[in-house]
Amino acid sequence: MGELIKISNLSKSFADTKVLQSLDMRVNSGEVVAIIGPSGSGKSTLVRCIAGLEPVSGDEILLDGEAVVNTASTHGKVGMVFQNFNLFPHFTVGENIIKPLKTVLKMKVDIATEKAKTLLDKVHILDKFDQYPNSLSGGQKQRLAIARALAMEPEIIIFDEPTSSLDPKLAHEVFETISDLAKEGQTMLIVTHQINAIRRFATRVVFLNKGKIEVEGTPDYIFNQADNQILQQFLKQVDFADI
Amino acid sequence: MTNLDFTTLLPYINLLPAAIAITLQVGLGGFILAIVLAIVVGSLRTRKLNWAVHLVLTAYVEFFRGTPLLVQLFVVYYGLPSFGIRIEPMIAAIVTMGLNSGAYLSEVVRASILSVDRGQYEAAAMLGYNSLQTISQIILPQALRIAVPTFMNGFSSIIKETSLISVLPVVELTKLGNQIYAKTYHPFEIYITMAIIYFVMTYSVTFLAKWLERRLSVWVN
Repeated sequence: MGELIKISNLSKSFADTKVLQSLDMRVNSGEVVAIIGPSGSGKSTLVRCIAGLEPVSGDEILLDGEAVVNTASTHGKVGMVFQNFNLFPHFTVGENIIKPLKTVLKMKVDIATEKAKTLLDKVHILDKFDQYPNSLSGGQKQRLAIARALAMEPEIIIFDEPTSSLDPKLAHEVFETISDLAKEGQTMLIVTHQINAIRRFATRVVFLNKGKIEVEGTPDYIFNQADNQILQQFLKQVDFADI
Repeated sequence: MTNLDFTTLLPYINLLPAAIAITLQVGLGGFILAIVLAIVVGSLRTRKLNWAVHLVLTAYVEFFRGTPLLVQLFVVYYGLPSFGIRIEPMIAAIVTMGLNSGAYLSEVVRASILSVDRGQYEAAAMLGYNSLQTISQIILPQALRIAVPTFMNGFSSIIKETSLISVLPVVELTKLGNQIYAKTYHPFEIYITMAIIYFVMTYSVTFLAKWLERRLSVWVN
């Protein structure tokens, strides 16, 4: 498994607030890394930096050995699934996948259409092909967003709280899809509060606190063995509130 | 009260189609020019620009919004020839109406673009769209959907404002009314007839607008 992402000494501030403090992290191809931590611990900021959505000054983040400074530098290699889906409302379900393939990868329409159908079938919404996203449920919207990201064949897909705006049943549908991708060996980075869901398929869990990695390890280590005080307290709170 | 006599208009009825055609040509021509200007200027003004371009665009928008259309018509048609620029009255009318309405509508386009969710830019960027592809394929279609009702209002306004071009040597509806009045001295019959014709035009635009909005609302959340 080759090293895909290398983060060294990454710091990030918004105005006077330090969000990330000289953080180091590695992600290898094939890993499914879950990032957990209290609100304000910098989880979203971290993944948004990796995606290029937050400007980073130098070469603190390397993707395949190349510095990530903005979205242009991650172009094609990083897929992103957002909390609010961010589907294109004026495109049909099928077009949400076909148009980017056409525009960005210059793919022929019939080939793009075939690809879209395969992916929509995979996330179980092929019957919605000609409808607009406004007719989908939240879970279906998020599965379309996943299919759209997959279509570009990125080396890594980042999920930024993909189920936070979904009820438990719909969240379960989305985690089923993510779990399928994990089995196929898709490299993923998942920010979430739903620790029960990620136990099953994360290969590594990173616990972030106050902009630093407090502790990391296998799900078994993080959830059953680690005796870190802050982690224990966090897990107790999340378990109590777990949705 | 005088007795109304609409029959005095009958001898002039054959002049109506040409006047209506002129009104529609200026209205439609001005509207199309206004849409193009509004999209270009409105889109540009949402971006960080070099100061000279920013100054020119701001000056254009503020000047045309801050001065009367009638005076703008005088400047373009009667004023510019002093600099050797002579423009056909129809062209002067269409260009002035387009510039005037374009200034207003560009602000509508700007506000509509700013109302599109940030997440749309981020999703497009992550898929690899460049900034021109993002604005033309993702942002503008959504912004223009928001702008359509105001655009159609603008179209109605332009049709009504074409009456001002009766100050140029162009025989559109209002000018024709003035000419018939000079011959018949029946102002009420003449001007109410003209008013009804204007109303039929603008009311048709209202129907067109409703149809367009219905068609475009298929995908609205």
